[in-house]
Amino acid sequence: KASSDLISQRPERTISGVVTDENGDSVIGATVVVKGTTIGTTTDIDGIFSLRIPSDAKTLQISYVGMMTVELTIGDNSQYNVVMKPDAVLMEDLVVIGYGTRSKKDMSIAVSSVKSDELNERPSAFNIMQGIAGKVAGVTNVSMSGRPGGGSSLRVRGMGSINAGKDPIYVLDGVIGVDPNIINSANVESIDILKDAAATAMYGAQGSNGVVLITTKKGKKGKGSITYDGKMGFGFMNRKLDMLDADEYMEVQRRSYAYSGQTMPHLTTADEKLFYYAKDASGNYQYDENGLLIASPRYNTDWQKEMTRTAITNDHIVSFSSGNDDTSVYSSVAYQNYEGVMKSSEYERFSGTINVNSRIKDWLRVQVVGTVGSQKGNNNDMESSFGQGAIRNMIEMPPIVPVKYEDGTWGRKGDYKFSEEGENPLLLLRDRRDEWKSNFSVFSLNSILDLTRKLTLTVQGDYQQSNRKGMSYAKAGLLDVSENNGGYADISNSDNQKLTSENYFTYTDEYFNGQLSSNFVLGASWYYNRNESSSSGSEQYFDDSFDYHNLSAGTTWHEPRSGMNQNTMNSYYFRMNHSFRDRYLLGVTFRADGASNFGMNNKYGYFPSVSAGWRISEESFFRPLLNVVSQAKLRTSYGVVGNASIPNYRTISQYGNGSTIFNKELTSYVTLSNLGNKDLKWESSRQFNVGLDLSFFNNRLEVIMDYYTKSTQDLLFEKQIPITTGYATTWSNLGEIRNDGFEATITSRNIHTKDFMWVTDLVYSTNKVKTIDINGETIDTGNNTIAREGIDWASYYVYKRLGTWSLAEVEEAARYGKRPGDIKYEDVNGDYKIDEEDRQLMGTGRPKGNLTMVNTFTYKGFSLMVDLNYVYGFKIMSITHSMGENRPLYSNSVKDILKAWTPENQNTMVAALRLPSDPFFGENEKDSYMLHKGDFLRIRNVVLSYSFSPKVLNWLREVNNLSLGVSVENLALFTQYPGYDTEMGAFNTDNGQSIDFYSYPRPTTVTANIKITF
Amino acid sequence: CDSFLEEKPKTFLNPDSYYQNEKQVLAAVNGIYTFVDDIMDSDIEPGSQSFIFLEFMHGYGERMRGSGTQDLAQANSLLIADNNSYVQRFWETAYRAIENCNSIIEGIEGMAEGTISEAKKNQYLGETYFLRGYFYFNLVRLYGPVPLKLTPTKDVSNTAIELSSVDAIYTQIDADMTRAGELMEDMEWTNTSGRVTKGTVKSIHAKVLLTMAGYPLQKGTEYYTRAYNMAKQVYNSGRFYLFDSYEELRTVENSGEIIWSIQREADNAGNPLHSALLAYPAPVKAVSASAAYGGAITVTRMFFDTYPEGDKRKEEREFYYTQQEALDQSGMVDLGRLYIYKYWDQDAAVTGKSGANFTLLRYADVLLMLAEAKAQADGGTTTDADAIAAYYAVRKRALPEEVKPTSITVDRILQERFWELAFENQTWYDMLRTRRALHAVTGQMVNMIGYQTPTHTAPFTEASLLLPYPIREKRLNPNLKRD
Repeated sequence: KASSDLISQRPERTISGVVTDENGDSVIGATVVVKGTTIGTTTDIDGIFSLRIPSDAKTLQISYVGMMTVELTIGDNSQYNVVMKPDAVLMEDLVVIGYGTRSKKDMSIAVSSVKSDELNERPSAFNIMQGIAGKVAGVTNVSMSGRPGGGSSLRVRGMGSINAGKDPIYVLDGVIGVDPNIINSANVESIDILKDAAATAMYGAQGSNGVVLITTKKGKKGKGSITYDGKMGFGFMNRKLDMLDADEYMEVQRRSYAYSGQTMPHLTTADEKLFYYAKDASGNYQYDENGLLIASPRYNTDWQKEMTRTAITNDHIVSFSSGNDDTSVYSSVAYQNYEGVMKSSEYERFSGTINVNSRIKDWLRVQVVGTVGSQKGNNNDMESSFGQGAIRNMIEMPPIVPVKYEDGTWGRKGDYKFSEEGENPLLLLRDRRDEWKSNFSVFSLNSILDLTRKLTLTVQGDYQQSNRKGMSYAKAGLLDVSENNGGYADISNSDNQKLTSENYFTYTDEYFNGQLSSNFVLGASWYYNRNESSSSGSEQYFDDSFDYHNLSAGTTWHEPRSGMNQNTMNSYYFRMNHSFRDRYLLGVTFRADGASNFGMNNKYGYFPSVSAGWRISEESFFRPLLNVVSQAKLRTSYGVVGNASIPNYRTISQYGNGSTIFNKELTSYVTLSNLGNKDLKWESSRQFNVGLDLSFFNNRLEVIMDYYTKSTQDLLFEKQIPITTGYATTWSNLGEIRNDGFEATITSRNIHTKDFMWVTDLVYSTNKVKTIDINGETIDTGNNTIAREGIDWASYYVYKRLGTWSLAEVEEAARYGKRPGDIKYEDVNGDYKIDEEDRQLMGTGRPKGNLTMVNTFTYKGFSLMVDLNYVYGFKIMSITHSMGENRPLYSNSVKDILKAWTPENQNTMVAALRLPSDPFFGENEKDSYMLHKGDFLRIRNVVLSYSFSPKVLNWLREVNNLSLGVSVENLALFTQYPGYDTEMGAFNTDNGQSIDFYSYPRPTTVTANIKITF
Repeated sequence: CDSFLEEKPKTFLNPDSYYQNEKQVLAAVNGIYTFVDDIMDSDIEPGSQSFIFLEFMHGYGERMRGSGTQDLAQANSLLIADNNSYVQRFWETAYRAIENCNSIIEGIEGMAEGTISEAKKNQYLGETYFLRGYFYFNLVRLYGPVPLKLTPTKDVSNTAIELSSVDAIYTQIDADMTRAGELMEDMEWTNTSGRVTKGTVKSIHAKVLLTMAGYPLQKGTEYYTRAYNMAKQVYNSGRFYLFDSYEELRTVENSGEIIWSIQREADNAGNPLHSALLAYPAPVKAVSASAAYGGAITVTRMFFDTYPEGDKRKEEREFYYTQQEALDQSGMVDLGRLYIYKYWDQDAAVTGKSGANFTLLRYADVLLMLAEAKAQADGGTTTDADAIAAYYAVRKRALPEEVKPTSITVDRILQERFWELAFENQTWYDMLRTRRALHAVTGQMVNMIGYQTPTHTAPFTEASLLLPYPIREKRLNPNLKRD
């Protein structure tokens, strides 16, 4: 029907006009279309348009980003001058809130949105988590890594849980629980993050860590378009660790031997491989006055230089969009490849996506969303067994050892006496592979049935599937990896399936002559998850050419393993929203969730919430203020949400199994591995939120502020219990922690003229996690941190290093079994024993505050954006640095070790250098000396771009949009911290935040970008 | 809906519905043995196996490589802190094993008629009672009063168990060992299965009785006599014998002199000892294909010098060594000092993987226990023919020329124990129960309290005799207090 209309429409006349903004400045590039057709044009540099329209054209629609869309009735005139008003971004947007949308002005809950453009500002952000970082108040990225494809996770408003999952739940076009790593941010239209409990309560048991709602791009009505968005970049190291060079390394050796009254072995027995020796003309060795050989190191290798490279990044996406009144299609294919600065580390992703929206019947709309793809990476720089990680070896390799000797043999770490055995890291990168790949698909069918004009039924079915394969192979002969097993291969597979069904009614109506508008949602959902895994491997290959492709070529087989687990959940939910006289807002939600991983007595949890808002600026008494304060809204909410993310089967006692040996034969065994807790139930978190939205000077300045307090109770906690029970831990519901925080987002349009714009965005958030109740116990939260009532969660709890014992303190030192030059700790209780009671609280690794400032300058087609990030109030525990001081002779050290104690230099924090047989060699009780102030200021991103004006593009007939840009990410980092970077997450857990354990260096990346639309 | 939310695990068994057949029982009993293995466990630092800690407590060994943490250095200064990881490890291993034992005993006793044969039931119960006693024996020797728990944990409502007296714990150990002995009375003394046999039970029971007779309970003559009688049963069984050469201690497994050992196998359950005890720093020419993470512990020169003149155990590559054939057979490689050779594994030297068993108890120990128990029962010196024969068998292997004595003293037997069983995880326990030490200069037995060994930085005191309760456990159970 629609197409026949199109054919019958014949352009019959031309209309024209000028589009300006409120200041009278012309609006360039505004889209002017005849509503309901594909007939349209854009305004030129003077805001002028002209368009041939059919005779029956009724309405003209003029739209422009940032402006409110204008609709005009087409009369007999041929000239139409249009004044566009700025879109009050703050108040007018439609926000996705889960199971529906809501206009921002009618919302009484805390939700933050990130639009497509912002999300894609950082070209080397290869997932949405990295794209969001710094954009949303109260949302932080806790485990950024410089590693391509490295782990990354968001935390919404601090830490909602302690042992149970802490990740927010990701919802892609209504599909719950999507892996955010598979989403290409170029396909994302907007991201809305639900923060307070009234917002997240709609997701009940899964809502306690926040909800990230991702809406993908849809096809646009009108002429079809093809867009290519391509980025290519170069990443390089901008910070190096200050390691010893060859001469300094030998100085450390010399002092260590001297302390123990010995001389370095290469001075008594010549080691021509590593040293040059003074010789006379006839080739006889020369000796010094002590009768020792005169030698100097032959090599001075900078291992950081040898191991790193300029990394090339590629990111390309082609998308297609088209649509008519009834059906629209968006589709894209993308390829991304990110090299790491460490040689041979890389990440690659292919993905394709399609989003079809169609009105099939008057009463039926359908949306089909599909995403498929694969990703792969190479992690062979990661530590796989003790001491054999490429990054760690890079830092620890002695500078006197070459990459290769003159005879072609590879240098090894242990080539000089006492040096620890370790493989050449470059050889590790070459001969060991540790690859992973995964295939993923998400398919969703969403149908909306308009049962009446006011009542709709939404039925959605989703299928998600992913499998991940890990493959590793080490060629024969790698020290401590494959030296004794002649080639070593392993393959692991895991397969994950998720099926969900979401069904809900939506009813919208108005009452009291339109004074009260209301919206109701009532629904039910079912979720099913299944995981299967298996692994096997073998060693002793007679030939290296099989890699990991033929496990039966090895003669010794690794223990095969497999597993399966599944869980289910079933939910019912209700929501109503009311807006009375456009100024009094009320929202109520209620959700009931049942989950398989809880005890029989506690299968169901119930999660209510209520929120209210008051648009003060609508009140008559406010009218005098409107000149200054254009809009004002006060919001408050309270709600309860839950958390069920604990491992499956914790309510059941378990016998774990394995194989053990009797008289050289393998035989099966079982041992008690889990004490089931049948009473295990939901963790629930109660959150109170109060917020204020203000907009000044006709929306030139916008401020959003929120204060919240979130108390998480019945914490799902893997609680320690006395070992006398036979178990170390059991899952239980325990105590309470509290997150308090404040967030502010300020947008200021400082200068706004026809040609020049300057906008400043400030995003600030602060959060504190306090332990309120843990039964009066002290909980070891790992990595020398503890939790105790009344203090910050996971506070560092370490000895305080005072310095070193001096020669004047011989007797005092002896009472601790120590001598001058040994490390001196503060003995808090003065019992002459350094033990648990002498540990002290020393802050946390979680920043107190995080401030982002983005300034955007636009001049005609040019745009310059500068993104600064300041983070303060936290300490980094640097294992990298302290190991770099505790292991001289075993490995290379950081330059700080030269400050080590000597009789001439007694006022120092670094213990005297000595040989390994000394009992206090490498004393590294984790102490205050490992903690470094982490505060930093980063020039996170600078982007310069140019968009060609429509006038220029008119020359290129088919090109509708063309922009070019260049960006520098991580341009500079200002900090006292001596490591590669201030943001890191060791061990891939929250507890690893701000722990530097041989963290991957973060590059500076320069990227060029071209975006063209046909 | 209830069935939709029900959990149906497929990858593990639930102890609540276990114990249906013999195979299940066997798997559960096998599980207890995995805790016996735990003395091989270590943290990330090379050469930090649990058993090595006890070899630093006695002070006759020294370490060549740095320790990384202070946990081993604390053994040198005899100032063991409650956060020492070894203190936690010994405790943890014992109680995990005990819980499995408790659960198995309850499980087997509750099995339906006809689901297990009487013979299997006796064997498995015997092994379980024995192993429960064995782990309590380790606990009470290292920590003194500890919580005595004899039933499985059902919930965590009451986990703060009170301490039991040392006397009460030994009474329970004695009872468990006696029960195990009764259950296994009709079984063979030994076999090559690697499992606990009647011989194991009786030998360790003898050690329990000998310890009860000595410190800290000092039950005296009655228990020395019981210990003697128990050791005598093993002696009279005729199923055990001393190897002719010390080399067989390194090569023969599960028979002859070996009464009980941790079972190892190269590919699936390697033994870290060979590698941990290698020379450190590694010699220029490799003597073993194992990664050179050696230097965990070796003998001090002073202790070595206390061995009598002409003692075979002193000879190169018997108990100790200073050189070894290079891996490429290009000649002898000098290691620069003495290292322990007792655990040398030639297979591991070639393949890089050690599958050698670790001896927990050997017949030489039983013979010396027999002699010591009798000498004690007789007031410090004995002329008992069996006691002298037992002692002399061990002595003669080391010093073939020596004539058989007509009487022997306790000190002489103890001296022999120090030399024969050095670095076999026996010495520290011997010192605890006898309060005697071998003087590293004179080679004579002296009182342990007040004596300072060559590597310790302080003399032994009463406080050195017990490990502190682990900090983690003290936090979780406030009853863990010493007066």
